[in-house]
Amino acid sequence: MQTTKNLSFMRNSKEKIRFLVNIRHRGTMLLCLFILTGIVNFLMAQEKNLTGRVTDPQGDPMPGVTISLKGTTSGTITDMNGIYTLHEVPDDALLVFSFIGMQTQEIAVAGRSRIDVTLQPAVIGLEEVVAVGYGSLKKEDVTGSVNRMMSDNFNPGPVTNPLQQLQGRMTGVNISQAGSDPNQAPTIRIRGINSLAGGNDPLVVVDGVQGGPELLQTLSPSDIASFDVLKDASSSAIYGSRGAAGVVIVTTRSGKAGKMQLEVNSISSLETVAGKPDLMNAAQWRHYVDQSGISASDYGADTNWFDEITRNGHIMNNNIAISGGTEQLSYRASLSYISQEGILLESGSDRLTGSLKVQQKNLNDRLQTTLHLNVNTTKADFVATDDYDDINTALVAAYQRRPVEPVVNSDGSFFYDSSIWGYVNPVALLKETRNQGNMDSYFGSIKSEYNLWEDLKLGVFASKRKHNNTYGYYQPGDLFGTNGYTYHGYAQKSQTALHEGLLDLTLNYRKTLKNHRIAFTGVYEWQQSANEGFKAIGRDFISDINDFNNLGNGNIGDVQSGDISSFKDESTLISYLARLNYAYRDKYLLTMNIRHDGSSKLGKSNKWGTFPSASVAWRISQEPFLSNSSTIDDLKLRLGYGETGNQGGLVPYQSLRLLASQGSTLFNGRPVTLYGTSQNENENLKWEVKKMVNIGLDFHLLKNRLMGSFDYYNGHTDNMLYEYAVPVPPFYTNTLWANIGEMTNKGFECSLEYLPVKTENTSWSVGINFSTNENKIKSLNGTLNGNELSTDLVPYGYADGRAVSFLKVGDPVGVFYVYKHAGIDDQGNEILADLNNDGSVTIDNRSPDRYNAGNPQPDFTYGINTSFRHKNFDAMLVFTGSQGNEIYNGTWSRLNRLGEIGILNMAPEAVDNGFKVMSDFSDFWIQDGSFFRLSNLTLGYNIPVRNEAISRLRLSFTANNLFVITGYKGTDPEIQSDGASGFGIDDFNLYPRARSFAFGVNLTIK
Amino acid sequence: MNKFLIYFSLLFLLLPACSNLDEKVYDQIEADRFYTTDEQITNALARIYAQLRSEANHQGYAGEKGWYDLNEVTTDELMIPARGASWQDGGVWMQLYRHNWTPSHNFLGGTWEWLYQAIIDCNTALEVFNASQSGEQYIAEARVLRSFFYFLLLDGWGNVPVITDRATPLSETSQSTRSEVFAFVEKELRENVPLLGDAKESLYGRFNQAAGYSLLAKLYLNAEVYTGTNRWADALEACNKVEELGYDLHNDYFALFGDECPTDEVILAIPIDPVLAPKMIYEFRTLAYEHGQAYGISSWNGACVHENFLRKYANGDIRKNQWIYGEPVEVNGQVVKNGNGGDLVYQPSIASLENAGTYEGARNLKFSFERAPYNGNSGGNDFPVFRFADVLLMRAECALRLNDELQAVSDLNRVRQRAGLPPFSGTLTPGELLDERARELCWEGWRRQDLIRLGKFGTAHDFMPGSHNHFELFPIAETTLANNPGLTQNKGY
Repeated sequence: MQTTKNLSFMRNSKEKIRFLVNIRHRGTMLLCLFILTGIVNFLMAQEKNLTGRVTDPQGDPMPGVTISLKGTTSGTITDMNGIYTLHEVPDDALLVFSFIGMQTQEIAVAGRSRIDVTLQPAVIGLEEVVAVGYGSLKKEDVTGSVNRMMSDNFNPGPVTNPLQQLQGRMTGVNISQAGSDPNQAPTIRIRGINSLAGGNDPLVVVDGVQGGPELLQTLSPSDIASFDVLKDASSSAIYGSRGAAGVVIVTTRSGKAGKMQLEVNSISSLETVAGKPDLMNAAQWRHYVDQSGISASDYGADTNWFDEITRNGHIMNNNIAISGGTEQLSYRASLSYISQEGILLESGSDRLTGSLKVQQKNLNDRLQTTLHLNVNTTKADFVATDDYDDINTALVAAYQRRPVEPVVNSDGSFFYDSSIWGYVNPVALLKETRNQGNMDSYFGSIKSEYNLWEDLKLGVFASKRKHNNTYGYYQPGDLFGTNGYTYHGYAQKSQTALHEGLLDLTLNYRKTLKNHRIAFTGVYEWQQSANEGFKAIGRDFISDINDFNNLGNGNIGDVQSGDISSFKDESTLISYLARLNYAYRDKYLLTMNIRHDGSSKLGKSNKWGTFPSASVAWRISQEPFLSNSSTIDDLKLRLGYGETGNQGGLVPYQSLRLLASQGSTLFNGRPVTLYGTSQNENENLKWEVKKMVNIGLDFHLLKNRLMGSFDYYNGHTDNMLYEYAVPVPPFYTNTLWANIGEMTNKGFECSLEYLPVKTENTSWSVGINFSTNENKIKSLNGTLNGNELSTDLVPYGYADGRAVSFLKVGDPVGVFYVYKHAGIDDQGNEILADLNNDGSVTIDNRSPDRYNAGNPQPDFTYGINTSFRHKNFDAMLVFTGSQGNEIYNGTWSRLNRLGEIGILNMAPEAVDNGFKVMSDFSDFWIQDGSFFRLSNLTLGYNIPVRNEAISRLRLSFTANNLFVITGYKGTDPEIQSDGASGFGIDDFNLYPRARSFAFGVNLTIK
Repeated sequence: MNKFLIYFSLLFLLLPACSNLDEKVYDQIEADRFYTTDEQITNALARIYAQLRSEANHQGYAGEKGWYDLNEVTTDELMIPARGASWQDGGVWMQLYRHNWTPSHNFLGGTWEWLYQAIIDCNTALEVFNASQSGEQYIAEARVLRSFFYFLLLDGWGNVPVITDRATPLSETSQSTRSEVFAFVEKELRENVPLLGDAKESLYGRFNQAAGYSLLAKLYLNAEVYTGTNRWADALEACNKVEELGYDLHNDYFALFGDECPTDEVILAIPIDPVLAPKMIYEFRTLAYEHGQAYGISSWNGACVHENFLRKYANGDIRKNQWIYGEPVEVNGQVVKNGNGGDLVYQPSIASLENAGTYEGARNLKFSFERAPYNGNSGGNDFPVFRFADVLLMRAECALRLNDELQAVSDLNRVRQRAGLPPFSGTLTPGELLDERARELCWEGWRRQDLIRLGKFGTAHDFMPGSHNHFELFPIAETTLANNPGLTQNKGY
């Protein structure tokens, strides 16, 4: 018959190749595929021999279910009523019923002419498939340290960044958000700080598109189906050149065959200021000033400046998604709008995200193609800052303005006191400064996978993404104490763009031979990334009306060198990689990777590096002695070692001798643009290498009531990239990018999930995760081209301009290396301890009187979550915590200088502490940053609806940050913790933290 | 199957073609692709002059917290007291004034690096000039400029590495003795100054022969400090060379500090323009906030002088008018109000270095906004590095040391006459010449060197309790020393 002939032309691979080759020659493959698909569809509507109906457990018909004859490629799918028909079916044939998300069933025809089938949902848990990079694995086959979280388990509520859905939920994955700035994404660190400059941001892979955490910000949180986090080097090695800091694989939601649905989510949230600083009020201030006889101006007001710069905020989060399809074609399209008004005056953001994902199968399901397009446009109102001096930022001003000053004068103009250096009225600063951004980003990708023959698949993946950001900044000329005032109006407009292109060619081979299973993956990958941008500045405006929208309104005579600038750089990564998975009797598992990576950023002769990894696992529960155990359902021991190369944080061109323009000067009476040496070049730059050993144990006990895993890892970073200190002369500048130091990270991770109650109507689960990480700089010294270098005690973080945290050999990154407080003298000066007993306290960065006074990195972080469901009611609590990290509270120290109370406000306790002037920064200001937070409380109710069209109607209430238990004296203990310079230091840099209350509606229509 | 394999293999054979990792540079220039045109070659010279001005912190004459401050704030003619919370800056200004700085003083490392960057720029330029025909005329100028920067190192640090190649290995950067550095600078200047141009106007802002001889005069004038052996006669001869090249005093003292320096007196100026070549901050740093606001700018209310310094001026000395104190400040004919609503008056007395009153200390108007265009970022007054009044006073000092008092008094009187003072009477002493230099050249960057030469740098004054003579050299910065353990720290630190 025609049908059979057409459908089965693929059986003969020679024929098929000839066909492919021919159409390639004609160069119209795509057209042919379209035509072919049409023919196939047309010819399928033929007379019947075997029929039946497929239903779900509720008895509803299931359209789009694939029914195939095992061992052939013949088959069909069910229609809208779940009915299928097959022709010329041999009596001894075996039918395979399959549908995404349902268990596949095999049924022998046994001569019957009608077979009705009820498909059961696929069991989650052990059968889970985990994304492991360029493919997926059954969870039971995973040999490395990989965590997965599915959307039904995400942190609910008013989520503005996808990472918030994961915060506090995974071991070894530290997601931290300092304050509630609408334009500040959370930071994510996987298993500590592994690099000083090579890059600590994990690689983010969204449906194959690679990028940094900025890629997440362009996604709608509600589009995400799952996160898979590759934590150990043997897992992340597959992403070698970019995966050294771990990998977050994001899979977005796809349409499901046969389930056409419309989903609407709406969440509205109110944000209040959760933590306020303890500052003197007007009465306290006057009392102290009177008592101490300081002469100070009293303007008669009673102002709480912190209250004046904050407000209640709102978050509105609306999503709409349509999805559906057949077994051959599925789609999902969504639109999401997230609008946030921040709790600091004038800060906010508006984000619109659109996403379209279409999957189609052709050539009798052998060719599978996925198109994905995601666009995001964000309008941001940033907190007004002033790059003049940090004392001018709104927060500093709000903390330090005296409470006796009014916000506005009687004539309505903003108050300022011109006799105080650097005086800024914070309310004026926030209200009068325009600091806006328009961020547009998109990515598009195509993935095609062709099943060449039974076990071999060839794939092509190509993506392009672009982030295009435009910023505008304007400060009017009457804004006292700012750039605007200095220049009689100051405007800046700038644009930056990131372009990134990616091409993967993949080959996947799978073979099962009796007791052996083999999977091989080979990949060629090419990535190119370019950054470019320009900036222009205008000064001296006679009208503020156009703010930054017409720089030409500025005075041409006031243009300064550097007011117009632009830049562009480009870098390329190329990789060849191979992975082999092998399983023997499903008991002994092996994964091996080898990757050959090249980076354009490295020195001419060191561009390429080879990074191997291997891991093994033993499924002990498959052994005969455990196979009948009633307590142990699954038990797996894992061991892995891997090496990954890192160069992520390296700026391009560091290996080249370059000249760049460096301002202008007057030479021979004419302005001349100057060119000069722009950097010390290092032609020997090479890959930073991270090596990691991981030992893990996964278990399912008590009939899958208790699940969990333990992991221990030991990571070692070699050839650590950093901008090392070098002497001038002979070097031109005092730093050089080089590979010198070493760093280690060791840790233990434990996650447990227990289901005390698990019945049809009621379920209760409790999850705990616990992670430790011990970070240590092993070395910063070494030899460069035969020259001994001595980089140590590198100032890493400052408070009020003084170095308090350091990179110090033998200590963790950012250790607080400060003086010891030994009291206060009669003058109110701090006495510092003479720790080396040489009779005096040396004040400098390398002073022997400094000591290791604390670590900004926690001893451990943890999360506790529990969810409860009874019939239509559900509840969820998420607690997060951090223990043993210290914070240098520079903010507090500056509110403790009574000598300055005449012009600045202080904390009430400053009177008891007694500091008049700060002699230098001591351990007195180091405070325990441990905290325990109820970060999420959600109550939900699924309203039972009789209407058949409505499959789900859910109401929910979420409260975020209901309480935090901490001994920390600042407004919130969760401050910058990304390991970058200055982390762990509170120095007026923390956007206030919000407590939010959200109400949400979720509606799904069939 | 076989055909497929062939095609598939072909695909992978194509891959090496996609393995090019050469970097394409878009916004900078690879060094071997520059310095190919005359304009680009000239740019290498302009780059060095820009270093002389460099406005970044810890750098050139237009920058704060660098060479200028190390040579001024350490003396009695420029003081930056803390005023409440302002100007505390971790005590850096007070340490300089009191002479109790340590190797961790944060002006030191940057200033050292600025000097060596300028020297490496000279070496780079010389490499370019030597390789090109059109660069030949610049070689002498670049060598004299390099000598100027070595002269500053010699003066500030003494034993310093002398490097003359762009790419000198670290192993070849050991310190020369102060005498060796002196000898190097002397030789370079003797060989190259005569090769410089002698024009004034067309070489404005550049080293001409007179500027070269002025530098040579400074080198010899301080030779005893640098090497232990005085060179008064050589210094005097270099001063004569300058006069022979046609320099004289400009009739109006204050016109020397305007938008452009008059070339009849000023031998080497640093051209400054508030927009094209900033910055001139001395006026910003001295004026009280309200005083600056009267000019429409944010001034910093920092630098001032103790009343004892003002006592050096005789009545009728027009140069005293560069200091403002004791009477209400006027801008554009309007009296400026202070923060409390009264008239703004600077008080010459200063209560303490740790906490001076807002309006305490006389302020200097040498580089006044009245004499040059300015904006919120910078004044526009050009800065005179060498001028003939300085040369005359140097010659007077040499003559006096060589017992030619007649010549000494004659040179001194030319300077006094312009200042509206009668001829000098009495016995001329080096100390009197030192005071004259202070009156004439205050805030022009030479006071520290002059005090050291006269052995008075460590003398107690005002809030300065007196200091040991090891402070006559700066220490090598803690950071510099840490990065290059091969360096030996100066004695006493």
